[in-house]
Amino acid sequence: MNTIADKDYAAEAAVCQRHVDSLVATHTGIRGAVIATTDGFEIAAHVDSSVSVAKLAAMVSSLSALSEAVSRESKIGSSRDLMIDAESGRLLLVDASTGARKRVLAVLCDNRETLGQALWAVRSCREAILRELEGH
Amino acid sequence: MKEYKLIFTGRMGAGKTTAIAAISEIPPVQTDVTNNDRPAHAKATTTVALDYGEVTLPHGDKLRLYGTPGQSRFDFMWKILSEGALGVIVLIDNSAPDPLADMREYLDAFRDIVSSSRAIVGVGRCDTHPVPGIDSFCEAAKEMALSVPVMSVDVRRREDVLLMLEVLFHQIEAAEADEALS
Amino acid sequence: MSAMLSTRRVAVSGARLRSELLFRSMLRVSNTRTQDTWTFCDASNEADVVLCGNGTPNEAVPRKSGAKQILVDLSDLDTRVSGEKLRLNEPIRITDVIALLDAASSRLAQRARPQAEPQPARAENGSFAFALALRDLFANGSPDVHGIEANDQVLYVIPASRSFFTTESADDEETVSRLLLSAQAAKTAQLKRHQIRELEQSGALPKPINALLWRAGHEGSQGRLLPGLGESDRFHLKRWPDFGKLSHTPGELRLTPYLVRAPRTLDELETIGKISRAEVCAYINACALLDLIEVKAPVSQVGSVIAKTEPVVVKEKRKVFSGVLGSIRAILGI
Ligand SMILES: Nc1nc2c(ncn2[C@@H]2O[C@H](COP(=O)(O)OP(=O)(O)OP(=O)(O)O)[C@@H](O)[C@H]2O)c(=O)[nH]1
Ligand SMILES: [Mg+2]
Repeated sequence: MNTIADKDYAAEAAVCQRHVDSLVATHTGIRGAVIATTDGFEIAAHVDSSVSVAKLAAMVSSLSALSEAVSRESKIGSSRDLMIDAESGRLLLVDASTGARKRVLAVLCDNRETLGQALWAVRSCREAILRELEGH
Repeated sequence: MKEYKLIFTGRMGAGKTTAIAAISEIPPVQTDVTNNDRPAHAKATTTVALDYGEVTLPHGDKLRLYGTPGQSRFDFMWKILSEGALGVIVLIDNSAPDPLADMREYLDAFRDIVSSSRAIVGVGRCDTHPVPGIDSFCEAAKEMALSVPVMSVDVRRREDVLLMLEVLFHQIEAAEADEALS
Repeated sequence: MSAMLSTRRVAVSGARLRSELLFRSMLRVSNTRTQDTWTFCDASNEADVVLCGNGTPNEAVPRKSGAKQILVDLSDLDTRVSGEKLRLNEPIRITDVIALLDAASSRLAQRARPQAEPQPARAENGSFAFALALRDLFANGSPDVHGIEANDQVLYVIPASRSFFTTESADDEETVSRLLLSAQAAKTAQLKRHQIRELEQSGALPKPINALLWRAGHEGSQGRLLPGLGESDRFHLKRWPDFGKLSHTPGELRLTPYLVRAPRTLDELETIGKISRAEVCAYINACALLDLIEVKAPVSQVGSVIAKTEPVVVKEKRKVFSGVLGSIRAILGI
């Protein structure tokens, strides 16, 4: 397996950034996206300036760790996606890990995007990132 | 059924997760993930949301033990977790580059709880890193207009963790007794 | 260590007048050079030393006060001050007088010790003396190495760095135990430079003194406060002792937060800690040795009565957490 994930963080960040940018650009209802390590560091982000990327990255990692702990505790296996349904939008969290390199992709949508559309877009983005990072 | 909450906080690797595991009667819920910040600490994993442990009290009451993430980028969790807490235990790793600054950061973050005498500072790794000494920690707290017990502890030992709880409890009782008198 | 300076009395009995006058005039000169200060007294039964002419018995006889006195035989031809019997022969020389009086001083000092009055806790109780010796040393904060010696044990301390060491071969705990057990007063002395060099060469490493002071305070108190701490004073703890390192009792844990919050009297501490007066004193002494105690003057009578009667009465409604702490303790076994 030819992977850049574990060693070359700059290359990894570049790949992630490209996919995040294209996700936000191609979906009018998607306002922003962040890819973070599971311990809360930003890898790539495309959000408007009103949002603190560092804080979002940390919160996203806390949420994903909590959802993992809850799934484990409830005996429903490992957690996959997490959705927060809010008043004027949604936050979707999906796992985007390759091997030992654990990442979370978080996507912010507004109400123009249906849940189905948003999930489909986010999962496709995730697959594209993994394909490239895993060198397929 | 009443619930009481104790918070374990302190810098990355200070021993929050270890301390909770030492006294929880349930296997602690942990949210540790791979640690990518090896320059900050060499440990393999780090807590990013919370640790959770429990002690069952009579009448179905519960003592909940919460560990916070250590790093300040998770300070939003500090606030969430400390809401309504009975007390806070600040753990210090004395082998860290600036243990006094670490203490100041957490005392400041939990200032409300600390200033109402519901906090204790436990300093770890004193045997290999005796400096700064307990006096310096007390002095640093005093400079922040705070008074807090500071003890050297090794959280790998259950009795040391219990000592911190005991000191914390005696302190809370004394504070409440004094308040009731005044 | 130099002996304490005292004033002593000397009388002459049954000697020729010439000898007596000569002795009196010599005493004025010798006084600048003797260990103790000597005054001439006419009543021989009140003197510490009596110089006797024509064969007065040379055994010590009890004086009115009950303390012993030393009789010096002037009739003997021996001009030297000898071991058991003190003699002074004519012609009397000033150096002989000085030697005689100093010899008498040290004998009187030896005799005084076994029948010392109640004050010498130092003499009767070595552990208290050890605690005192430590306290005095650390109070002066000297950067020099001092030896504390008793019961054939020596402990070296450096007050400025609050550290101590024993010789390479000695076990710290053992040394301290023996010092505390010692029946004699502990002696302290500053070490000479060559002694320090020898110690350094022996590879002894200084260790923090706190645990040792703590132990000395606890074990050496015997129900009393150290000098400088008064029974009616109020005590304030500057900060919590490091209970992670220092052994402590449940009672001490109970009263510590109160001592930190405000100055308290011994009575209050007994009530709060639910411990005996002796235990309170031991704890206060131990904390004082660690320099954690601030002494506050007693409050006015009225104030202390109020504080005494209601030190820990808690109005239920103000207790938010106290109630549950008991059950938490029970569950955790603390
Ligand atoms: N040698 C030594 N090791 C200690 C001492 N106290 C704690 N440790 C070790 O330090 C490590 C602390 O790890 P954790 O309990 O995960 O620390 P934490 O505070 O939860 O760290 P984060 O969750 O990353 O913020 C454990 O491996 C402990 O065994 C001590 O006094 N001496
Ligand atoms: Mg942890």
